[in-house]
Amino acid sequence: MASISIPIPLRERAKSGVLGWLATVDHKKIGIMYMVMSFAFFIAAGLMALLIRLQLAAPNLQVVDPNTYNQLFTMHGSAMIFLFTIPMLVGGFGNYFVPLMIGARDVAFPRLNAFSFWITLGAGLVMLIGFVFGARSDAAWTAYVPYSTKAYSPTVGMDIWLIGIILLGIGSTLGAVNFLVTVYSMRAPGMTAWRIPMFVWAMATTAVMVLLATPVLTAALIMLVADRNFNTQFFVANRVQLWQHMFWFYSHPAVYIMILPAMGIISEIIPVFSRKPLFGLRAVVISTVIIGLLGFTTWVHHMFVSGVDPAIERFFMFTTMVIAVPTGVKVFNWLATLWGGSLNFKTPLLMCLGFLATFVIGGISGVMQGSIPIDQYVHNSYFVVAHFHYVLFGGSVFGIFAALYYWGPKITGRMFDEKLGKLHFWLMFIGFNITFFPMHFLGLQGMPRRIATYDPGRGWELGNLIATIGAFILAFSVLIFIINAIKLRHGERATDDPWEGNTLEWSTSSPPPEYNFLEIPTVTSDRPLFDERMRTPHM
Amino acid sequence: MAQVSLRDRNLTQTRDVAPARQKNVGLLGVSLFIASESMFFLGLFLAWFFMRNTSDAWPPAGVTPPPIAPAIFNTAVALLSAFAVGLADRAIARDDRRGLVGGTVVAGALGVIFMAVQAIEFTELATLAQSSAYGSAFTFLLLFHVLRVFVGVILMAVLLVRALIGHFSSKRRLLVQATAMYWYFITGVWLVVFAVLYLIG
Amino acid sequence: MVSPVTRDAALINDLYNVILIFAIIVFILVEGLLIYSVIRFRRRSADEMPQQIHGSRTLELVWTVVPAIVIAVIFALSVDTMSRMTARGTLSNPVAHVHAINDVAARQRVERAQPVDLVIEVIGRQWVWQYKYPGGDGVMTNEELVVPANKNIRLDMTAADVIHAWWMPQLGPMIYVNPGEMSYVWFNVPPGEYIGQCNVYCGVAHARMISKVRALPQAEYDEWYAKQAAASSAATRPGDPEIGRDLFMNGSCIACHYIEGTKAQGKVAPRDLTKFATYPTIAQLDGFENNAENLAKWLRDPQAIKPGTAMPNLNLKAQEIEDLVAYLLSLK
Ligand code: HEA
Ligand code: HEA
Ligand code: HEC
Ligand code: CUA
Ligand SMILES: [Cu+2]
Repeated sequence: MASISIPIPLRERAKSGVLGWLATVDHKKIGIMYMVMSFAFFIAAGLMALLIRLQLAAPNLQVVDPNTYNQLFTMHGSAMIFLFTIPMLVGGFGNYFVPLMIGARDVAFPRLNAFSFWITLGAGLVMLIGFVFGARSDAAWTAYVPYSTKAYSPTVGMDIWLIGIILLGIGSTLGAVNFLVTVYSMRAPGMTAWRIPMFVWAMATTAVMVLLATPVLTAALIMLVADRNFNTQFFVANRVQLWQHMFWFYSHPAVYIMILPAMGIISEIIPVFSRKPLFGLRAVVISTVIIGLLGFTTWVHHMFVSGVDPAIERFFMFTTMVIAVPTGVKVFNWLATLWGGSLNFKTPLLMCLGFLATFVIGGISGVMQGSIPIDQYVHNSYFVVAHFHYVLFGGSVFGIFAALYYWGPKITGRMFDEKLGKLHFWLMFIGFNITFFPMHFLGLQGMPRRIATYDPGRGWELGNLIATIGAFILAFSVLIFIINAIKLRHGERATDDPWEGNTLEWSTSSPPPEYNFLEIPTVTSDRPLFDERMRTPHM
Repeated sequence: MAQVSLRDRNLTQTRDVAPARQKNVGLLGVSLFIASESMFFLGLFLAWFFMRNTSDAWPPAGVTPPPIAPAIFNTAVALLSAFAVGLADRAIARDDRRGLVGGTVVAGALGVIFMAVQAIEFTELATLAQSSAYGSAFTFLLLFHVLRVFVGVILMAVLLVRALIGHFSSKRRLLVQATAMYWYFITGVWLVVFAVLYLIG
Repeated sequence: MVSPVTRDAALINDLYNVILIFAIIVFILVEGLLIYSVIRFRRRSADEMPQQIHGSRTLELVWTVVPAIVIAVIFALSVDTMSRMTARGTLSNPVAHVHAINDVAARQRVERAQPVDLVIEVIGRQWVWQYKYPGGDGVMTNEELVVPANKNIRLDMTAADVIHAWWMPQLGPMIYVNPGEMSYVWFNVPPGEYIGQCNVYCGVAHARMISKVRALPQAEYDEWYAKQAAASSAATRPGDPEIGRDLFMNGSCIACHYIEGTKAQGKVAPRDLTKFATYPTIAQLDGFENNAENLAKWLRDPQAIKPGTAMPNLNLKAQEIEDLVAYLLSLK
């Protein structure tokens, strides 16, 4: 491979031990810390979900009292979104792999990067410790006013939640600045726009969304904190929609913040395991950017029954549905990549197939909800709960596990156990569908979300029982992953490029050295390593 | 191999990539940060207009808007300070460090005057903030703007001190440029705040 | 979906079924392609090298345009359904929201929207729906709304505290009931009993904020109404603890109150009622002795006894009060 030689910088010798981690500004170490942190929050939030499912397994159960139930789903939702999915995808994989994939030695502002991590961890810990010691919010992750104002949520838990989310917002905004500058200015020679890996494109689009959406939420959160503590008058009655507008102005883009990186991940993995280039690379890039832009114009679909002007609603119905088109373009391009390929069914690919199979269901139910009359029936019902778990778990979380299996060897230098990996996948795939598919029917049967219990006789018993059983299968599958991760210590050693990858991270050792690359490679196509292999047939 | 500082490392690495691209890394970061700051104010303005449109009277009956005279005075101060910052930036581009010192002193001082005027207003605003949504939004816009001015003044002080010990030159003036950009942004926000709060009402 | 009984609900149901067909087609297409590829294109040998295809402009065009057409159709169908739902031509929204409660112009639009036979005022509060009948004889019910069947009914709704939502799946679209705003729904139902519940999370007992609609033929309705009007002034028989218990367990009381070993698991009221009869005073009010007479007063209007208390006035009928008193005083 053609490459240029640049003197390797040495920082004050990479410190080892605890201090080495605490003081690190290395994007890879920071990435790993993000991953470990987010995964811990995933387990915590998952255990809360199990309690939720236990409570709902049968009518009128009292596993936890209603207050606790409300606190549980509030923290479950908030933690899954703000403390797991976003930091895992953006902070974890983004940090570790964006510089590697563009052939850089670090991010543009390494110290700012470390700062982002610590502020995120701090906010997460404050929220979780508050939760453990009883300072809990119970206003749902959407924190609608006036329920979340002092009059109805007088507890300090609510303030802790608000401040935690503000801090998380600051952390991720700074992170976004960092990514954009890095991608813009630190690419390897020859890496022109169409040679930028799909994952990097996705991260850059995501970063723009974080940058522009988060501050609006921050403003709303500060206004609510002030209302609660300094008697300002923002969210008084007669203006209940103001919060909803500001919240969803952020939180709808946030759902694309959670899905675009996952889509980027599978756009990397599918080509590798099919031995084909990504079909329609440019179309995929363009639709990613379009999704990112359109994502800012659809937020009112969460407010179709809130009392918004019907003309405005109709506009948002249109924009909401239109997003299906660019998303469909991506789905079909992934399918076309698989088509005619030489599919190697290793766990990473299985996870991608799981993504495709389930995300589509969530996407379709999304479009159905986008139709105002239908939303006037299913809004806030378990149909919506089914929808968003299909996109969030079926999409983002399958993407996250795909990435963990795909990049795990690069990060740790060891191979996962394939057998356990496959078992994990199948249990998770089956458990997932058992848990969430029945929720569509529950919603159509009139079961609202966020209810601590329900009376028998409304046709909800069976669906709920099945969902609960599914949740435990799901939990078991995650347990298998954890075992697999622990076994990694004794796993087979990974070569530099165990999967015959396409992108630059596979050109360096596993795990990569502090400085990433001995020599910065020159890039001449969108699959530099593939070309390299073609030149030297026997590898 | 010799130890290289972070900034230099990035320079070495990217020099061969695209010289034009990497030159403004810092400024790119600042512009992105400013974009994000603008969205924060956009959020507050949206709240303002949303509440304005859903209220019968704006400002509501019984609430008197604060006087406009101090705001007009401050607008003049803000514009002058932006001018001073511009001069300072231009000066160091010519390696004129005295011009830089002069510009930052003037701009910083004007910033302090601006804050002082706002501080006097705030004693009244505290009660206004609790009177109505109008008052709350009014206060918030002023408060969060003046917090940015405060940050700007601190940056000015840093510039001043570093300029006095002899830092900065026409080749090394990233911080000066960044501060100037941020200062222009604050001034711009003030003009919008002024127009929305005092002129449109 | 739950079987629709009103025109609006039927329209939604029809739309749902049509869109579901598109959904199933897309689903089968995508999953079919996926499964086919998985079976057909597995790697057969380690050095197999498939043809390197980078893309196809025609295909990109096809899978942009075809879904776009599908989306356009779904959009058009949705808009069409919206325009055919009740209250057409006024707010072009089947359910109407008006911002300020005192918005006169909007109010007039609502009045003109559709001729109605009966207008009932609805108040959503933590955690009970309250229905106020017109006619000035103080008839008011909690949780269950009784209406004449096959008549045009309009509900004028507002919330007393936080946001709630009106959702009767069989009766048509759901709508938020916001504090400080008015929301309206129109419906016309055949005789029967329908159930739904509050659908915006509103606190501890959100799950218990049930709404029921019982539609009676006009004659039966009139009879019921006359009874209510009379019952709101005097009780007709002595209190029965069994009936009282049913009222308690099926009413909104359980949203807030706790009685060991029963469905009442609410944690809002400070003291549990398991052994209520043994408390010397009611609501821990000095001098307000716990006896039948005082308890009836308390239940009739808690606010009058203890201003600012969190227990709302539930507008209980005289007879209901008698029964509840009998039940509560049996808790020893
Ligand atoms: C990863 C997260 C994620 C993603 C990607 C999406 C994607 C979409 N979402 Fe979802 N959504 C959530 C997370 C997400 N959502 C969450 C968390 C909530 C609930 C929040 C709360 O209240 O707590 C929610 C709620 C929600 C609502 C509000 C429901 C309600 O409360 O009443 C709506 C309504 O329109 C909606 C719509 C959509 C649409 C149209 C898409 C589209 O982007 C989907 C596009 C994809 C496809 C359509 C599939 C692929 C396309 C094809 C194969 C082409 C052919 C297809 C057709 C022609 C149909 N979502
Ligand atoms: C990425 C986002 C994400 C993810 C991954 C999940 C994962 C899960 N969710 Fe989550 N959920 C949300 C986001 C997410 N959720 C959001 C945003 C809400 C809305 C909140 C609100 O209303 O405000 C919500 C709400 C929500 C509800 C509705 C609550 C209500 O409205 O009353 C339910 C109910 O079943 C539920 C269930 C589950 C289950 C069973 C899982 C499972 O997939 C979890 C699986 C994981 C584990 C189980 C943990 C790991 C397992 C182990 C460590 C093994 C060892 C354990 C044992 C076997 C004991 N979720
Ligand atoms: C919205 C919540 C709520 C609902 C609904 C409610 N209550 Fe209460 N109730 C309270 C609260 C709070 C108190 C404590 C009042 C206080 O001490 O200020 C209370 C007190 C009481 C008491 C006195 C208890 C004591 O500790 O002395 C009785 C009896 C009672 N309620 C009966 C009922 C009955 C019967 C119903 C239903 C018809 C009912 N309540 C519905 C909230 C509620
Ligand atoms: Cu009222 Cu939920
Ligand atoms: Cu959305």
